[in-house]
Amino acid sequence: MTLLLFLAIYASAACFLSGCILRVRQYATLPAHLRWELYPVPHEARERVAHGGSYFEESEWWTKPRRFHLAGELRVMAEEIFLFKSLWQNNRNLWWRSFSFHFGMYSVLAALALSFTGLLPMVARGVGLCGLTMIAFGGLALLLRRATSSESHDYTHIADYIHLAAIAAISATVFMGCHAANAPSVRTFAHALFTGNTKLVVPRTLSAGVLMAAALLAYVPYSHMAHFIAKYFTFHEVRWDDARMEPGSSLEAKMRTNLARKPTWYALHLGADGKKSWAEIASTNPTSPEVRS
Amino acid sequence: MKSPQDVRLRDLSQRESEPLFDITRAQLRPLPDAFTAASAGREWKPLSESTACECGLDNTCALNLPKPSTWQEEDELVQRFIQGVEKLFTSENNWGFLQPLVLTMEHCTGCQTCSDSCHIFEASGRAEPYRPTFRSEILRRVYFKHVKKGGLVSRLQHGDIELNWPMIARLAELAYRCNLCRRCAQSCPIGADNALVAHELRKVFSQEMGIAPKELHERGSMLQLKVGSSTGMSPRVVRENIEFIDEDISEKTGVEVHTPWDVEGADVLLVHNAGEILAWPENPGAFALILNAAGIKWTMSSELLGYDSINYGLWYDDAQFARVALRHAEVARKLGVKRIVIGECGHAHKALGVIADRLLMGDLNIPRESSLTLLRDIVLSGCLKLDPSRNDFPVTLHDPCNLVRLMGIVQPQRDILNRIAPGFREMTPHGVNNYCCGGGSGFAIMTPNNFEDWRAQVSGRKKLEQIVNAFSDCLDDGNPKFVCAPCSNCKGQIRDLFVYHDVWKKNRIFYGGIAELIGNAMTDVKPGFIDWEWH
Amino acid sequence: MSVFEIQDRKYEVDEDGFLQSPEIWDRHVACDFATTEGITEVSESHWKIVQYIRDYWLQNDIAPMVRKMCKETGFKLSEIYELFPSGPAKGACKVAGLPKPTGCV
Repeated sequence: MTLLLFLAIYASAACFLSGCILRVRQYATLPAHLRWELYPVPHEARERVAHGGSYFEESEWWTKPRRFHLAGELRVMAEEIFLFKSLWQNNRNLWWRSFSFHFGMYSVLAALALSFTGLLPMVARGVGLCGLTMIAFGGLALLLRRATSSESHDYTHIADYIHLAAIAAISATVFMGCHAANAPSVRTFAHALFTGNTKLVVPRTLSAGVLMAAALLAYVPYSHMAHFIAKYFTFHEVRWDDARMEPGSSLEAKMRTNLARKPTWYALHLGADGKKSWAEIASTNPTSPEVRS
Repeated sequence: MKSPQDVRLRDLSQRESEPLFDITRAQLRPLPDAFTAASAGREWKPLSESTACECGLDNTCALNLPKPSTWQEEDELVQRFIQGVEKLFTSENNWGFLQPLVLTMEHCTGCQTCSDSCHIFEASGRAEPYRPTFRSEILRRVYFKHVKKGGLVSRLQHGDIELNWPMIARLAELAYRCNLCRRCAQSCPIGADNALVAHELRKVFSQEMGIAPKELHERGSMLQLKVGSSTGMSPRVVRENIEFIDEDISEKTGVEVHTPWDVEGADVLLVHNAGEILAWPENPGAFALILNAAGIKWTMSSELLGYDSINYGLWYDDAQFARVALRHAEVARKLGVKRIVIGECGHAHKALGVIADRLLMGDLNIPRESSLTLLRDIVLSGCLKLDPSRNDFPVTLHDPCNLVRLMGIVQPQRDILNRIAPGFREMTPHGVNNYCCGGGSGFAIMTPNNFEDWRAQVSGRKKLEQIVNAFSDCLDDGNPKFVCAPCSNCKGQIRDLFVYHDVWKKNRIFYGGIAELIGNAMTDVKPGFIDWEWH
Repeated sequence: MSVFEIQDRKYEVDEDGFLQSPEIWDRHVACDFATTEGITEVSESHWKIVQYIRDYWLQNDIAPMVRKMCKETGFKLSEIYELFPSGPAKGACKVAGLPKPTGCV
């Protein structure tokens, strides 16, 4: 039984990691896109961040060096990652549910990390159990919102209910498992896992909880729960991407590649025949007879 | 017919051709009390085209799509749409927006946080199809089913959709019920962008199916590429018109104003939205007055496209966008100017300033600057003699989305107003959190059928509310008040809003650009640059 | 394509109600289109503006600047709005048989 549990954990970790790598690769290898930023951009110069300004506010901005305000960006990231500030500002009714749910996960991760070190075992246990409770509570609160809100009809799918219900159930099961008689400590469990000591006795409830968690974890990167990966890209690569085109830059090289791509759009005015590149199409005039024919 | 709040995704595939829902005045978000009585009179023109065209969404119609006459034709249209969506997700066809689009497709959690930030959804009394996530949900299901070829698991994760022509026709209209202001994207906790979805849908319709509003395509970007300007002005006519403006402004101000043409190597190539020249000549006039007085070495261009900064492709078609942007840059390169300065036009700012930035290679990447920063420098430098007391009336500022939320030009216009307009007060909210005027993404120039009713009653409603609230302390005092809107499209929309709701007559609220306010404060010219004559 | 019908006369119009074949325009056509703008009686003032727009358009293939129109016909803009309630572009141009003005105007 313990062997099975360990195998499941290893398989799940492999699945999760490879899924995450695939996701990152999927998004990172998409072509460099046109600018589509949205202000405020937090790495802008300090005096401009407060009102959401950009370097375009300076006259002859192209003659002035870029000032990248890293501390500003890190602060906004921290507020967003740990406090869910945009939800706090825009959707308070969702915030407490989402905060509880996600902060619970952070707490569990922190508790696991602390447990590995063997320091402050009681604190680690307290944080972990508290985290599990927050996940279960947040998950149920999110589930309830989806089930009862009149806004959710067309936008909630069967899988959304399953995800939330599963996460709440897993948290509750693991919580109970931690209280089962003879439940090993995280440190003992981890030691057995890494050394392949299958003689370790794991109570059934805990096994069940860990097994379910492993199954879910393996699936996460293949669902929209991978939004923790997407969020890096939507913010850093889209909303805050204000990089300007510099002659000879790698961005310029990427754009040259893009402009050499050959579209196949069907509408007549494009004149896209699969042979002409974007650069060529851009230099044609659709009102001249040869393009229209 | 359903109530607007009860429409569901599946209703879009209904075969009956009458509208799914009606926007009625009773359901609209109420205007401020002080204003309601004044605007109650106007009736929504009934939609007379509904039998001839696809008008199956609501009680307006932007596209006038012809109805297919045979099943075969209908089937071909559906297939064409699916192929268009497939192309939308390929690097060859859509490298420019692919990454943001895929992220939006795959990671919206359906939390509806964005709904409350949409002025159209709010003003309509929360008509479900106007919800920012509604049209995205349709495209998302098409994406997972037809592009990702998802099976059972995908259907459980993302839902299913049966596409038919009525649904696609309604979706085409729905792509034109969003101002592309991206206020929804700003509030998304994940960073998904539902306005981008409307933009991308418009591209599928235009680039694959040849479907776009006449005002934007046939009489917009096509006309511009043919005769030089979407207004239809040829180089000869634009020079005559500017000559007329020069004379008119000289006469009015007592200062000889002359616009330089085609000066090679000039410091500044000023490109206006050509609509300014025809409809708001005091704006280009004020620019000429100010730049001459400040001693700027500037010029206008009479080369085709060199005198019209508009680029409607920004709203619906990447190829048309690239063509126009390229020609703008070529005109500047040929003249050998140091920089292009974009007049008071929001979408031209974003088009040439931001989106075109990564398209212009080598010596075509000529520096582009906002006229607002140039005007700010001139006003603050002290080189003009300005008397703020000449602008001694309440002024509020409209933030054009393209300039502000989408480009980060927030402070220069405020620096100017703080210097020259003692009665300046902000709207709520403002800056990067502003609301669109309701004319964004081409709506300001779209008038088919009763689209103007929709614009004035629905998409412009929030802006009207903001304007009225900004002047709540002086709404009925009979004194003139000024909405400063440094953008042609916004001005057009605000003008139409004010005509529709009779705002000048009832509340003495006027509107105009920022250059006019500067001209009005210049002590070297005869007082009264701003004509408080309506329209 | 829509059809505007008045008494026994039919005109092809676009979705904004503008005459599709500007060449068939004459004073009778103008009077028919004036009814769509809520103008009950076409006065001399109306004609002055309509004729100016029409002549300018025939020469330049575009509607005149509003300000130029005001200056050369002697009407204030507010007066033009009184004469043509939907304004110079949408009202007066329609009566003058022009295609609908284009661009950001």
